[in-house]
Amino acid sequence: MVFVQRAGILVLFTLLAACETPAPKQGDTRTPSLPQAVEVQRPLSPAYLRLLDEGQQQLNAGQIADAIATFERAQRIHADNARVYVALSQAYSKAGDRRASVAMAERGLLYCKDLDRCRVLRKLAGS
Amino acid sequence: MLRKLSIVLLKLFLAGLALGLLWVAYLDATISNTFDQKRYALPATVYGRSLELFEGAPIEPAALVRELDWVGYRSVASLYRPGQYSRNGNRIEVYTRDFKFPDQFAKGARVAITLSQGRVTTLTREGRAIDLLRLEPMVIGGVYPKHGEDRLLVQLADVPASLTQGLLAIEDQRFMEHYGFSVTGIARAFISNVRSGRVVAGGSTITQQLVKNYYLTPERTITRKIRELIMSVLLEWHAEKEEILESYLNEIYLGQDGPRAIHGFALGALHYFDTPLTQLGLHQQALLVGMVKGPSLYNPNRNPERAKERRNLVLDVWTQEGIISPEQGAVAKLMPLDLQGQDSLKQRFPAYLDLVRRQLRLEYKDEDLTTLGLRIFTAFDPSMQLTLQKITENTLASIDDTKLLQSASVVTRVDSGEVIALTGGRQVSQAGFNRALDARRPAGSLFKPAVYLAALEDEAKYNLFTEIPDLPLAVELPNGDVWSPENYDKTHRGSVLLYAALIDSLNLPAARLGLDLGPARVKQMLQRLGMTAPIPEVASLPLGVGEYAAIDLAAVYQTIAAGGFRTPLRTIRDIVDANGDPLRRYPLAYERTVDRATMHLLHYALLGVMEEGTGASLAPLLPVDLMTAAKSGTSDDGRDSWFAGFSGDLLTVTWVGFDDNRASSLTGTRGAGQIWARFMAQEARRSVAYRIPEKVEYKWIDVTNGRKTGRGCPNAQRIPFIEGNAPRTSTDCRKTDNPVRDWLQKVFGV
Repeated sequence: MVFVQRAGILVLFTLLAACETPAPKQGDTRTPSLPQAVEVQRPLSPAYLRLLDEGQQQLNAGQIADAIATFERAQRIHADNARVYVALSQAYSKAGDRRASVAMAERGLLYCKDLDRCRVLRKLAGS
Repeated sequence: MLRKLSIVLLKLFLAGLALGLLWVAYLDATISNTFDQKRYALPATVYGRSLELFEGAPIEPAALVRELDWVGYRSVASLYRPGQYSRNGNRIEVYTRDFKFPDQFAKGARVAITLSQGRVTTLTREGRAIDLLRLEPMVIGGVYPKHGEDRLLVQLADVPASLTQGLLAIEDQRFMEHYGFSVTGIARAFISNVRSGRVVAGGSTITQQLVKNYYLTPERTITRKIRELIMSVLLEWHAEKEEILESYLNEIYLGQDGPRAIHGFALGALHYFDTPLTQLGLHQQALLVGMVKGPSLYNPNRNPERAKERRNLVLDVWTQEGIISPEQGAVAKLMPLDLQGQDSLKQRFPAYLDLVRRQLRLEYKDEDLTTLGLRIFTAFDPSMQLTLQKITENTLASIDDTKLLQSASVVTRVDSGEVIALTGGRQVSQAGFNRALDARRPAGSLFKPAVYLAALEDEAKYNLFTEIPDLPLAVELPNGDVWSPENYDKTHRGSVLLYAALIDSLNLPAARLGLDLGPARVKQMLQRLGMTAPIPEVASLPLGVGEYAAIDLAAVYQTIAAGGFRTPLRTIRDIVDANGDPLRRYPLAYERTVDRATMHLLHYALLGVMEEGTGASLAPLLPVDLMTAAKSGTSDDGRDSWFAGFSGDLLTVTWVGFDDNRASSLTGTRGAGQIWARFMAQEARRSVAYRIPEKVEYKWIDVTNGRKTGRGCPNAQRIPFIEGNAPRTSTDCRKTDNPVRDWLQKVFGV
């Protein structure tokens, strides 16, 4: 009951606030639309996922240079997907190249879309 | 007296003999030290990118067919051997060839590709579904010695027997018996020529011809002939007959392809017939053998009738000598020349190859590049290159009556820094002055983003809506001169918001900002962004003073496009040796040199350039749903027209101007921008769409005065700020951010 009352008050305040607002002018924008919200998510190609798996297997087998080459091949297919940057960062980390590992993770942060992956990338980036 | 004379003559004879022996010893050393080296000398081969096909890969059937044509596949009704394809509507079947990629060997197989609505839908290999298919890359050129020799090595065992036997029948019938030269061979050739009524065979043995090609100059003198004979005997002494024959098969000159000299039967087969040597028909083998006598005279492209006549003569000799049956000879003589259908694309990309060679020469000696048979795998994209070339030619033709206007463009992949296409001038397929690398010009307004970026790093002082003075300026220079920049429209506005100053490319605010920051900081920012050319540390630096090539500016804009990550511009992905074993990889590399949040603010403004700034007039040329960010640049009196910008996947930097630096009426947008926009419209596939960095917050701002306001208020737009740096002053519009209202709006739509 209390919740309904509060919600009603909020609706009222909101509508009142809206009444005070002058109508916006048309055609007077001087800024572009938001750059990030427009991307349409494309389905990931099975080839991309298979290359990530293949690279991971190479990494597990200690073939780090081969794994990096495979991940880069995957990156050419979906350069805007964060998973490949996680993979590259982990590969460089395993190779002992901390600087490259951080750089890959930071770059991946420009593309991550789900919170878990962003968290992993932030961890790899040390931020 | 007579005795004295005899002694003198004897001494002279002995001295001459000693000298002669020394000379022979010298020739012997030359042969034994260099024969193997010359035998295996092989120029580097440069490949373009391999086309990767996978489910969802964007490609039209016609484009795929074009790619197959470029790598020498032939269209047939039904596949029966590697190197063929057949198209049935949207289904293309290919019989791929064996190919050794840097990371794996791909065995040739029958594959089928089905496409729909411009994308690959299914892939099969020998009837089984696969997810990825890599086509062999196109050879785009080589790194040849100064004399331009190119060759492909082939082993004797891989050469068709009919070709070797046929070659010996024409060039040196007693090859297996003589010791380097053949008196009877000369006599036999003489008789042969007399019988035929024309010259069908030469007197030199194959060994002599090889010695001549390897070690001697072409002049006809007695000394050279003696040297040739001695060296031929020495070569026969040092090498097996099979080694000599194999070397000859790889060495013989078979014609010219522009500056490139075609040597050896293996390369000759590819050059003239686009077919591997092992797969040549008898009629093709006979033509190549016939061409040995005069590659220019019997060039089938230039003199088809003469070449056919020569081929048929060779086939007659082969029949007479029993190398082929009369039936085979008769059938072969009825065959057409069967040359490759279209002009080879090789050597048509001189500007890009120039960049590859320069990058190679940073790490390899010329001698290694021209002899070790290296295989260089690059990121070059022939499809994009041809689009860029065509658009460059057409656009220049439409905006220039003088036919002297020049252009240069560099195209890179935003996510890797790979240079994938490049033009160095108006005559895009001709070698010459490479303007993309060597035309050094003032950068004009292309430096302004670096100035604003340096300012935005001072978070406490600058944001996108900080007011900047737009007032006349006079700076006294160290030499006593006064520098007084002006805006392009020769007006000034008193004060302008930083965002508006950048998207409208105003000179006075940029110059003032540059002075406030100091030229050293602007220079430092340019270097952090990747500028490696010398940068003068002067007051006019924000307006692009100095000399920079398109490739220098591409390095700077690559870092901007990549979100603040400096990525070396590279053409080469892998280098392997002549056996296909990996020598060197050029991996993806990033170095963050600008904070992601600061770069996000700059991206916002560069998107604004295209939406409502100096680039907005290009909108009709671009797809509505493609968001691009860019900056135009114009130097004094329109001498240089620049346009640099990026989508989510591609960066292109274009310059347009005259070689003699004359003035033009072109601005950055009206000149270079026209090429840039047409190219991006055709090739870019992804909008600029990075995730908003954590440190950035969007606020509703009245964009006419830079004050905080509320959603729905006049001139309200959501603008990015570094956290805590949004303007503190507000408009008197009462409607402000209200999370509860936003939630209700979301849920109830009110």
